[in-house]
Amino acid sequence: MTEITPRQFEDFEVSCAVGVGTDAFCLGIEDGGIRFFNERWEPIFGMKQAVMSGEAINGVAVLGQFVAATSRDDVWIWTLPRDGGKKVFGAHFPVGAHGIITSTNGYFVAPLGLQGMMLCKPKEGEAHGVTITGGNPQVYVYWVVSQQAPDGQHLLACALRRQGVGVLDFADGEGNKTLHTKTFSGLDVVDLCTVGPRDHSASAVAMGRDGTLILFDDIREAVNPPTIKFKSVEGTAYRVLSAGGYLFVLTSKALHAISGLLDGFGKGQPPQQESPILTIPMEAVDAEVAHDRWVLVTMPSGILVLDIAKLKEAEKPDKPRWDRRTATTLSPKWHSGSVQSIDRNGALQDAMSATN
Amino acid sequence: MGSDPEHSEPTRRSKYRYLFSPKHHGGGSPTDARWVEDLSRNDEFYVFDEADWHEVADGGGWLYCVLNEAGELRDLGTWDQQVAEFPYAREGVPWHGYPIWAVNHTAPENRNGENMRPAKAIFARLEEVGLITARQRKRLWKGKHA
Repeated sequence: MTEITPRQFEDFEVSCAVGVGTDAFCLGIEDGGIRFFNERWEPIFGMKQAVMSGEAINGVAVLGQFVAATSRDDVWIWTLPRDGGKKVFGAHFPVGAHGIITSTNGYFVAPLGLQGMMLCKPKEGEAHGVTITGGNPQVYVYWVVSQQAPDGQHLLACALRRQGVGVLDFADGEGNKTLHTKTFSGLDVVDLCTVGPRDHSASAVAMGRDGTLILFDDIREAVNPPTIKFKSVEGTAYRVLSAGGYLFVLTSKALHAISGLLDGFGKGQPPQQESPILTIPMEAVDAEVAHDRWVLVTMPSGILVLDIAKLKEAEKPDKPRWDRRTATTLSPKWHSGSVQSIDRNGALQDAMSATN
Repeated sequence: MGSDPEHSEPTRRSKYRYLFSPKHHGGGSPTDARWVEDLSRNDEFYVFDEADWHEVADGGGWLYCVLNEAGELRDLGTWDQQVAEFPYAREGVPWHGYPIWAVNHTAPENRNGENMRPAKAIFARLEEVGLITARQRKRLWKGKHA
């Protein structure tokens, strides 16, 4: 397939892959290190121990000169030197995370499972203030995305596993917040993604572990959001990603590129029932969109880089690999709820320096 | 729970006895890990028996295992945990176990030295004996569902 380029790395085993900055990439490594690459995949910078636990990196995010790395055992935020020096300073938070993202208002946000979320707005030369937002009753935050609605409201939308989808009005500053939740019986939300420019959209797609897709035109307001399932999407669902007009669904069996489903999304139009789907069988570990141009697929060995522009070329009618599939519409009985956040504040601990 | 919380048979390899701990079947506090209700007692024991059979153990003798059904890992716990942990039991004392997630959930203020997560070597061992694939090992290693 011309749209996919495999990349192997002889001296390390990749655990995750993300885009950083405007055109660079970062690979997380199974032994706790991270490696940065430029747009031509030439190495530019690395840290042998981005998390001191030595656990596999499951998330990397960059805010200015701050680099955050997470594993199932710890969260580290590193301050990189501005002057080209080699000394970096790290701050440590000793709780496991499922990954980390940057928010539209300049925070690192890490989903911590039963602990809730870690929120940190890093400041140079100071201890990083950190807020742990849990819930009462307790919620399980498995993944989180950040977006700014067209009216300017900053939102955090969460995959809460069996508690469904949660939405939080995420303004700067402290104070208790309310997480508004939606779920239905049997739903197990493992991932969600924003649709459209994340600084001007309240649209999102959530995905159940069985591949059920929930389409939120405005994630704040949907009462009975369109809920569909493609029969051809089989296996355990891992990731749902949106880029280039496609919805990408990664399962334990394949990567699916779904075309046209999101046309009219955010404009109040219902989703298309029939969509061309390209199914690429693979045993992938994880996937992430980078720079709206690439899908970085982490494999048991190395990564696959899918070029979305080339995928568009491959979708022309004379290309036989795309199948038209009709989605089954589900009519679940939705339940809404609210969870009051409980904030616990502290400073990231154990500031240290490390030369890598 | 039935009237007899102990499994009728010992494990195949080490002849370990196994107790279905009420604490991990809804009798404990809300924060105690719980087995999912639709997992039969026989399946719970099977997970333990497989852990012992394949010697999926850490340095302290604690056993770990998963339940692989047709290539997919079944949820074992009410928080969607897919790995079970069986703390070491002295000779003659029945073992017990509970589902454990691969992520350390211990908050800093109540961290007590336990990581509440299986060691990386456990996942390597599960792959080595064929109970999980490389993909599943890497997912669990990252703290993700497999």
